[in-house]
Amino acid sequence: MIHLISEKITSEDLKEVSEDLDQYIKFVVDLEKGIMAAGGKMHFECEQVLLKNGSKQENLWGGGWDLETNELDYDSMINIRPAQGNSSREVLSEKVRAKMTEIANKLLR
Amino acid sequence: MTNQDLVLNIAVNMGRLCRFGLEKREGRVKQFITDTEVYLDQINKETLNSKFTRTFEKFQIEFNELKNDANYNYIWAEKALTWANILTHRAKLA
Repeated sequence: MIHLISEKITSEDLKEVSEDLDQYIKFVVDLEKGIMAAGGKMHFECEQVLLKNGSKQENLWGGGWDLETNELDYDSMINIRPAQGNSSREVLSEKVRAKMTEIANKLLR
Repeated sequence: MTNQDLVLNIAVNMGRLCRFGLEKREGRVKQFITDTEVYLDQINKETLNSKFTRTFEKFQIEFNELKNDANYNYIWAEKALTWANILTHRAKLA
């Protein structure tokens, strides 16, 4: 199940978003709005929730949080955006990664 | 190689499968599926950490599904990438 998250996630919602991939949570953050969509099996599903909520594509970046190891990653097919200088699935910009970490820590962890 | 090394090698292969699947490079996909099966056969199940067992069992099921699905598309590739990330994180638990 995908949730749109704008404040610290409840434990009930955390359980729901972690069920799709058995304790691994995919998320997409909106760097400008400081919100995220989390859950589901595909990053593009989270992306669609945010776009329908008024987010702009260029502010959206995808990653994951593994609850079993408490590690974040910044890897997603939606991150491949050569026009924005990111030609990899991984977020290459340290600045963007830092902001993603900040939002993930605030809303999820 | 330790079980952790083998799991990390599999994780890297899943990343490759994502890329080659998206590019519809059937030869490379088959190559790295076979390569992954070799690694899987080498995993010592008797010494595999119980913390990793559930993940490993799920991976084997979903890997077989990917292996038997020749429809290399975005969804196929994303499933491979998902496992690349999960296994990278959890290799240390193996």
